[in-house]
Amino acid sequence: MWTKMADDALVLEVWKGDWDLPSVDSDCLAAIAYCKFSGVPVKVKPTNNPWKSPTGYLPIMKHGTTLETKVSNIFAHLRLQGWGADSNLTEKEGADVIAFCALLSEKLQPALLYSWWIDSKNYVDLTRPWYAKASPFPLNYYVPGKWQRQASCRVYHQKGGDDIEDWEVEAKVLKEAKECLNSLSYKLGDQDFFFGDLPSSLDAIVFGYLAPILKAPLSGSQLQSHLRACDNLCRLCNRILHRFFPPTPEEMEEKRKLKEKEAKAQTDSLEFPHTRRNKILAGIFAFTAMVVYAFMSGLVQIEFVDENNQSPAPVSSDNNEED
Amino acid sequence: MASLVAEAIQAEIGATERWPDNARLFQPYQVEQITFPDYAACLSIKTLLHMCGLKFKVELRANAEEMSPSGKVPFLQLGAFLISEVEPIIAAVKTRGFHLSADLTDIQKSELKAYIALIDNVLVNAELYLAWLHPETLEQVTKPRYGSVYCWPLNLILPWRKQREVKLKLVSLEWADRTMEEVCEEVHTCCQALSERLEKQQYFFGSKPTELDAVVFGHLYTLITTELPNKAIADVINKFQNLVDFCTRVDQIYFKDLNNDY
Amino acid sequence: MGTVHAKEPEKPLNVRRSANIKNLPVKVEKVVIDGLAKTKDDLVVQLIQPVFGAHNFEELIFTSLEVKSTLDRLGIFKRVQMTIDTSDESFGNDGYKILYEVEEKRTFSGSVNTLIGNNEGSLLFAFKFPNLFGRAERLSMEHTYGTNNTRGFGVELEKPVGGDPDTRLGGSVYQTQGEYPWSGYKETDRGVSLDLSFPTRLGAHGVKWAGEWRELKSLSRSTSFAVREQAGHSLKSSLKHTFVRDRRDDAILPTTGTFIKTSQEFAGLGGTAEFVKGDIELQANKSLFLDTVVQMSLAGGFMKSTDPQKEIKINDKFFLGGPLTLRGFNKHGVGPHSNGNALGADTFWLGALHLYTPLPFRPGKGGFGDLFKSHFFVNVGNCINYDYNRDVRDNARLLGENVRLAYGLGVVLRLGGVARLELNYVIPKWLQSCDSANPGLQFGIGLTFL
Repeated sequence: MWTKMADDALVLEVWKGDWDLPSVDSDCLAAIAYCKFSGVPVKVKPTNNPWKSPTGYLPIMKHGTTLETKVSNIFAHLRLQGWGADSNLTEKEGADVIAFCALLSEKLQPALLYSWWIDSKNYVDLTRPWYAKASPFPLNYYVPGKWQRQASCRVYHQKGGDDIEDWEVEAKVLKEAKECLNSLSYKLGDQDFFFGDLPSSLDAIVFGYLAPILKAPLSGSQLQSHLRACDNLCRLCNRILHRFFPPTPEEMEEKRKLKEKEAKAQTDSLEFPHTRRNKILAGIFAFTAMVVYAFMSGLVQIEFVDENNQSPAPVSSDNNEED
Repeated sequence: MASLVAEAIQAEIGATERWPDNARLFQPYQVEQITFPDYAACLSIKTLLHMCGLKFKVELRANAEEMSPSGKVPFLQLGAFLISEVEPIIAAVKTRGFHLSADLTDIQKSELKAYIALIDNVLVNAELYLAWLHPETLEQVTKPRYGSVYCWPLNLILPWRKQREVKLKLVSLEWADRTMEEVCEEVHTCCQALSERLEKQQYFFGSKPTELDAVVFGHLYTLITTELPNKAIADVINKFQNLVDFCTRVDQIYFKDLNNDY
Repeated sequence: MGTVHAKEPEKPLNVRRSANIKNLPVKVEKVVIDGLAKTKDDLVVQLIQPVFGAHNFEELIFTSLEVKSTLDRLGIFKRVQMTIDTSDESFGNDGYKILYEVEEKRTFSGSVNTLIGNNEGSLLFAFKFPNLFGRAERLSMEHTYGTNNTRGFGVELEKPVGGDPDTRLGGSVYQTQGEYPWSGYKETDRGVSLDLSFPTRLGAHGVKWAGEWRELKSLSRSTSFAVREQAGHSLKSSLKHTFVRDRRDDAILPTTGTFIKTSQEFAGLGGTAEFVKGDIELQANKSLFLDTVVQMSLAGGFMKSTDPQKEIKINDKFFLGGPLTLRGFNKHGVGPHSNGNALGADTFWLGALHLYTPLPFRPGKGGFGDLFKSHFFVNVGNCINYDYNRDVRDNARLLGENVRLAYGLGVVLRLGGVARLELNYVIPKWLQSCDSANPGLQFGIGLTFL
């Protein structure tokens, strides 16, 4: 299948972006980045709907009759079509790509899943509301919980032995992630991209993992602080963002509007700092007053009915039992 | 107690510890009981220790898996410390002053870690898949071996329980619903990467062996030489001549010439 | 004036007639049992037969009371009421009928009980069918939650054999798990068992076959290696005989009587555990002047592996030491230890001498105060692993060396007729370096004690 099916549009269904990123999901980011590196005429659709995906995950790549979801399969398909960002890699470098992808999957992904889905503060404050808001109804009730369980499974399956505490697994996951980041940092060195001046699939995948950690407003994340300390990796992410995902004029306009709205909301809340609290208190007071009036005026009465034990009670304390 | 607990997982015991004379490696019975995924791990460790020139005694126990602090074999007893699984053992060996990859550059060390992760990611899971999810191998090889040290009815119950456990692990890693062909494809990609990395060198990082060489040898040798009903994975590996030569070479130098047991 | 004399009545007003009930002939013509719904007739018919053998009134009373007690012990009736009456048909003066009014228990009942073990407690949720098929078959399902992470679940079915409520045949399926921190391991047991218990004139016997799959795991990373080496699976298929003869007046604070309990176990009918094991416990009490009681107890046990290659596992061994047995030592604190974990031993012996007195100044006499007793005691004992390189005499001599001894005084409280609570001040006098002693104040609660 070497013919370029340029007639059929290549569509990539992804999670939408936030925090200056084209998408918040690692796999989606990697797919989008690779397409941009290779100059693929892709149409990116932020559907936020993993329902139709055969694996239950985004991204979904549709090209004519082909449907792929796994990142490696997407890359393979694109390579077959002749769009490759890896065409200038040597064989050894190609092998390194595979090895480093495995490293990221083994060592970094658990920490990413942990920060996103298992760390309680971030899950409650950031992840769940974000995915609940982004997913279409009725998936917004179902998706966050399901992914949280899967993340939990993935992170804790490496437990091995009953007497290993959760915090030990977390410490280990974090430590390995930091080592992984260090390894990436060494590998990148002073270069612009991992294999010279042109980005490769490895850069796409690394970008997919690192950009969310860098940009998302996580609180108290050791992973994020460690990443921020790795200068060359931060520069890599920003470089890719600036070069391949420059903000469009519409996006800049939206950002400006958002900032204005936030500023206004802040001043509003300063004037009436407890608006919401007052509303609730007022409601409770009114309701209590109505209920009290109803009782006092006899509109509502409560009866106490003594129900005799007609049927034998199912549970009783049997003092004569001897075992 | 808390510090020992952390160390058992991290296995970064102080660098002042020496290698004790009574180091023992515990594993299940080699001839009748051990399954080939566990055997690959044991062989990797043994190769590493031979490469470092370290003395140790192999203890065969039917309950090695239950004795292990993390439930996985092999595990190493160094004095008062018990360390199990390949990576913590590598770390423990390092902190006792036997660092095979000490001369590598930082970039090379990163690459070493990446390739070991690749083995973990692909070969280990492929071995588990073949041993516990492939019906023929499961019934003919794995279950009889795993249950061979137990009497009835434990010899039926325990392999069944282990199989469920392994399946759960592979489900969480999304390996469980792959077909044999897909597994072979993954192994092919992995071996291709290894082969391209090795090229014509003697070892993966030049002329001196490193931890990666030990791990690669352990897994590839097991997969090539174990008698199994399904030879698909062995065939895939055999396509890469430099890998096969590598295995033969390491086998010759560290086992046959030194008269070491497998 | 004349005097009036009252005439004496012919007969005295209070008539006292006596009849010798031994000589009163009796013929039981009818026995009516009212209130049977689920219970099958043949079961009850078999039970009431003794009544028909009564020839005189005394025998009638005894046999009918015995039958009532038998019906009670079946465990299927809530209430048994007995009425002896003359029979309706005027067949002669000797005809009697006995009416038993019974009220059957509900089809099923649930209960929540607390159990007290030796320094541990648990909560038991039970669901019982006291009379499953009509012949006093009892099916019970139990779920236990306890200290030391004890969890258990079991289903048991038992029934009386031959119409005798004391002879019971039962079978059960169970799973329990618990932690043993003094030895550093946790164990999960799953098994089936079949048991038969029957009384004889000497005492109560029980014979039980159990097939059990035991899974032993180290409790934590600091478990000693000697215990860790025994982690794993074992299958025990064993036959055990128990004999108990309790002629004491009370199980917790006896004042008189003797007690003997002995058991023998043979493991090896299949499975991996192969050993023979026997133990015995004796107790004798005597009341002295002024409400004091002197009590002497002796216990001992022995086990031997039938397969010289196999060692007996830690979960089958004997353990010595504890707040109610060898006082002054921690639980299982006597004997071989490794890194703080008790390893157990093949043989042991233990002796105790107690002197019980009521509390000084007798507070609460006649009521609450009678539940308490103060006691002075001496405990002595030893446990060793049998040395197969030496003969029996040498091993017996070894048991006499390095004996542990402790003495002290304390207060004993009797709890609900089943459990015993002790608060003692103990001085361990003779001990070995490997023991884990607990001198001073020691608290213990449990069902069995020495």
